Amino acid sequence: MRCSEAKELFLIYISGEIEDNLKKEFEEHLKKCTSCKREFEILSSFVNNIEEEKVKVPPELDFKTMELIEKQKRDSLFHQITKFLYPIVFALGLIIGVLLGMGLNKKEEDKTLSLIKENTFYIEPYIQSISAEEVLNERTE
Amino acid sequence: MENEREILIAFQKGDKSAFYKIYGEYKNRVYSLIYNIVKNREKAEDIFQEVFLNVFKNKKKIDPSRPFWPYLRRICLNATFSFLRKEKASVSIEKIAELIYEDLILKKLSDKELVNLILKKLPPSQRMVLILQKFEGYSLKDISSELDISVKAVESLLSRAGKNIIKIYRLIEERNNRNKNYKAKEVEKNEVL
Repeated sequence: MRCSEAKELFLIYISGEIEDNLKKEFEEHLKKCTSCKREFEILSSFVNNIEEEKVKVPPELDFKTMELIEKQKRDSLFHQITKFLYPIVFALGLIIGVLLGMGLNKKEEDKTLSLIKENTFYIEPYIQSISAEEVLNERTE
Repeated sequence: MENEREILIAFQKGDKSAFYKIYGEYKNRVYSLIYNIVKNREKAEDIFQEVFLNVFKNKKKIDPSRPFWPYLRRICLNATFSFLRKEKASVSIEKIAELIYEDLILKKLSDKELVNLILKKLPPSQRMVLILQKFEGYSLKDISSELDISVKAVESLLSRAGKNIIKIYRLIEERNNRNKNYKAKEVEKNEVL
C-alpha cells in the first residue's frame, strides 16, 4: 500500500469500517511508514478529542419558532377557506353575470319593440294603401 | 417522552398542547445537533425553525407507532445538508490554518479547544460526517441513507476531512517552527549587538 492510499483510509479505519483485506494492508503500511503512523496518531487523537458542544435553544428562538408556526396556521386556514369559497364565489359571479346579461338584453328588446311600434305607426297607413300586386310589380321592375 | 404515541396522535388531530410537548421534549436535541454541524448560531436558528415548521406542516406523515426521534433527526439532517449544499467554501485550508495558529498563540488553546476550532473550520459536509459518527453513532451506511448519497461519497468526505485535518496540523506546526526560528535569530542578533 502506498502512502497516498493509506492517507485516504485514516478516518475510515478509525471508524472501524475498513474492509478486512484493506485493514491488513493498512496496518502493515503503518508498521513500516513512520510518517503515516504519526499522521494517523494525530487523527486518532483528534477524533478522541471531539466533544459535543452542549447548547440550548435561546428563548427568543422559541418565540420566533412559535410565531412562525402560528403564521403557518393562519395561512393554512386562510388557504382552506379560500379553497372552499373559490368555487362558490366563481359560481355566484357566473350567475350574477348571466342575470345582468339577461337584464340588459330585456332592456334592449323593449327598446327594439317600442321602436318597431313607433315605426309601424308611421308606415302602417302606407302598407294598408298598397295592394300585394303593386308590391310584386315594384319588385319585378 | 412518556405516552409518545398518544401525544403524536393528538398532535396529528390538531391538539396545540401536544405540539408544545413535542417541541419542548426535542427542541434542545434538535438545536444541539444542528449547531454542532453548522457551528454558527444564526444558521442553526434558521435551520431549526425550518425543521419544526416542516414537522408541523407534515404532521400527517408521522407514524405514531414508531419512535419519533429518528424521524425528527432525518428531517433535521436533510434540512441541514440541503442548507450546507448551498454554501460554498470560500476560505483556503492555508488561510484557515493561519487563523487557527493566531488563536492558538493568542488564546493559548487546550488540545480539546484546538480540536473544536479545527472542526469548526472544516468544510461543513466533512464536519457533518464526523459529527454523525461520533455523536449519533452512525455507520457509513447510515450516513449514506440519511443524506441520500452513496457510501463511496461518504468515504470520500471522510478521506478529505482526514487530509484537511492533517494539513491544518502540519501548517500550524510549520508556522510554529518558523516562529521559533525567527525568535532564535532575533536572540542571536541581540547577542551579537
